[in-house]
Amino acid sequence: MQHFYELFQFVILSYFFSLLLKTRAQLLTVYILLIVLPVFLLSRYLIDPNLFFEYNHLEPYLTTMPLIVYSSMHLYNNLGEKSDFYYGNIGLLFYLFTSTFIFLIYRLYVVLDIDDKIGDVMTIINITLQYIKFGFFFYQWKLIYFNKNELN
Amino acid sequence: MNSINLENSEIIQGVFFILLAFISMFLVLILFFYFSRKKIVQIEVDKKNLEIEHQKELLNSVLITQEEERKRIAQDLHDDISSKLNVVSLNSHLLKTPNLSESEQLEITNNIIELTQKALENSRRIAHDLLPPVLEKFGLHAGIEELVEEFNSTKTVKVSYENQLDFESYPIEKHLHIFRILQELLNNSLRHGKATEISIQFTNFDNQKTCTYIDNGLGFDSSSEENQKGLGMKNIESRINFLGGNFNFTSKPNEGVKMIFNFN
Repeated sequence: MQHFYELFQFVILSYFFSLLLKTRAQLLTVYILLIVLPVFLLSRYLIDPNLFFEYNHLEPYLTTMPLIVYSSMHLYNNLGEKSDFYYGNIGLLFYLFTSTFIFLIYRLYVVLDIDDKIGDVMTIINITLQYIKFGFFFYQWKLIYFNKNELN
Repeated sequence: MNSINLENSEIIQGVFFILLAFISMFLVLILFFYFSRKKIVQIEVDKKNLEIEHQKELLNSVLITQEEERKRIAQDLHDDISSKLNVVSLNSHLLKTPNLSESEQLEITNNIIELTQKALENSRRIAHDLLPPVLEKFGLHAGIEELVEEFNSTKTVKVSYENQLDFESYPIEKHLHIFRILQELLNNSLRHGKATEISIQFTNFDNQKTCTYIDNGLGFDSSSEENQKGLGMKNIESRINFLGGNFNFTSKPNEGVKMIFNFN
């Protein structure tokens, strides 16, 4: 399931950023990665179907890093001016940054099989981070929603 | 043995990817800051360039106005004085012609006297237009009062003037700037705005000398860029710059003009 979740997130968010980003070079990067990455990941599973049932680090790394880069690009594009989806983007960037580490460390923790409590703590941290992200999203939605109302 | 090896390799893999994630995010951050700094500096440079461009435009408009003013003076001198003096000189030559009857002589001299008087009057008017003597002798307050009176005497417009400031302590070289600003505003209101009521107020607002100018003329869309580029407005702006003040100009079609400026 996780494979699908990560790929789905990558494709959807790549599409989202392809709408936001402006310069040719940035758009080209988004489009090329949007095609190359899924093809690469799927072909891996076709060549060795066993990989599909194992956890692997490469996939989450490859699917989140480009998103972090796109998000930073969008921040950079709108430096010093009013930005579309500013808070949503900040929330997303924040969550991608932190969750990547959480997942990587969690995997290490599972493999090492140390203390049970740390796992709970990490789950709680992840949930808190999700809430913070949704807080940003909610604020962004509020801004867009009320601005629309003003226009009408 | 095999399972321990597998576990070990997974741990190494996990640590490796954590490290990789760290390094890549660090790289993203560094690149982001590097490019941001560059962009911010570029934005600052653009802003400064825009300011310089604006200053250049102001300077240019000052030069253009100066040239136009010269042209106007030249025209005034040519039309009102040179032409009259020309006729005077012709008439004087006529006086030299022999066998003139007394009545003819009288007519010519009367002509000469009349024309020289007109020329004198015109030269006085031109001088007065260039720099009202009242302004120099009695200061800005009297100068504005005279200006307002002149406009009121045309009967097409009613100008009210109130002053709560003491201009005597104000540097005399700045009086002329304020006078010219008001002159320009009044001329614009009359010529373009067809205003019938104008109010000029000098007050001390927040410890700053402030002038409020309101008319009830046709007005125009002050937010449109074309209207802000007029030579008159540029002139007013550069004069207010000289005075070290700020100004706020608002106008809408059919709602007159309101201009507030302060000076130090």
